[in-house]
Amino acid sequence: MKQNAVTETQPLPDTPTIAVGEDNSVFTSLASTLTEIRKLKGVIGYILRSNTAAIVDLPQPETPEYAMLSAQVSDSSKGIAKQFNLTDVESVLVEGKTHKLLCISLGENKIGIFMEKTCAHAWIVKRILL
Amino acid sequence: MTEELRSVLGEFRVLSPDITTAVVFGSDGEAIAATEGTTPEQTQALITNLNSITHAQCIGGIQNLTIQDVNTQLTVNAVDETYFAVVSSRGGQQKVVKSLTEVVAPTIIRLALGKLVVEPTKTEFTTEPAEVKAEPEVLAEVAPEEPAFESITQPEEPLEPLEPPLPKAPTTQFMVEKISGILVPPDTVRIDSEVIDKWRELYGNRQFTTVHIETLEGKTLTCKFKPIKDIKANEKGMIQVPERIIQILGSGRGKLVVVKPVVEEA
Repeated sequence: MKQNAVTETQPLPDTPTIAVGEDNSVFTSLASTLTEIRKLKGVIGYILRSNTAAIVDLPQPETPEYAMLSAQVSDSSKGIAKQFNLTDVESVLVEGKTHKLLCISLGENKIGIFMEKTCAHAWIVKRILL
Repeated sequence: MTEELRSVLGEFRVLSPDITTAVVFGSDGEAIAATEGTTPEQTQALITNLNSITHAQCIGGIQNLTIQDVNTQLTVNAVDETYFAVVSSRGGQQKVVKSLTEVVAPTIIRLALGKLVVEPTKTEFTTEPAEVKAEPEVLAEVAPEEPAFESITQPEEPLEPLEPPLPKAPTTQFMVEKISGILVPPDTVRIDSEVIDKWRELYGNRQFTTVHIETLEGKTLTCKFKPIKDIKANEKGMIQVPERIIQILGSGRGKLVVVKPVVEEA
């Protein structure tokens, strides 16, 4: 049976804290990839959202902060990329003093992965894009 | 000063044709300098969009932002209270681009904006005889130790995320000073002991006996190192390098190199 877009779904085995709706096969496939990536040393959480669904696995109590940052970076990078003619953005990486955030957009699906600064983000980009 | 900074940014494009645009702007939103061809709209969009990221405190602020598309990348680096943005090709000589944007540019920006004070280094000429006047027999005993150079190949991205990661190797920038003499091992550089102590603090009981040296042109080499004890004030920031290593690196006296310890895996 097709699931309603705003009904709660069964969480994947490894603890996404919020899961609302289910969207398309790309979304499901990304959710599964992110569950694997979440197990990597140094990855502290992720958020996956599409137009109708979202999976959030971010550390408490800063979850709202992380989610806001992920959305802001995603929006801002679009504005910057447009001005500088970066037509087909693959990834956006923001490094802070303590952690870094990797944002990837695949169609309507937007991913934000938070990790330690020592974590090999290039490997994660490859894992998601391949 | 802005005009001078703009000229320098223009030179970056000459040094590395992979760089197409460079912009320096303040954290207060003020555009400081940009390469020719960069429109005010582009600079303003960059500043506005960066300023709209207001929740970066949870990752410790924005130190660096990189946007990559298939062929091009835009990198924004924080340099004190300013930001330095560069648009460059993802192909080509990434080492040159990195050296220019991560080493040369921050230094120049700090100098241009008066954030960096450089102590003039004095070259002391001495008429005293050399330390050791060795007889030919002594030379034979001391000199021919086989240098232990290793050429560096750029490793693939580490794919073992389940191992505990080491702290990122701290890179330190030094100015090259040539050392020579019979008792100078040709495969060993000398570095300020304070810098070595900081590395030891960082790595605890992890051993490191060699350092990785990289020139601004991207040439790299790994070699042994020794501390310089009793360093003089005007030798701070210097790395003493034997002639042989200088030749291999294609470097020279007064040139800048970036040095980091090579830490052995447990």
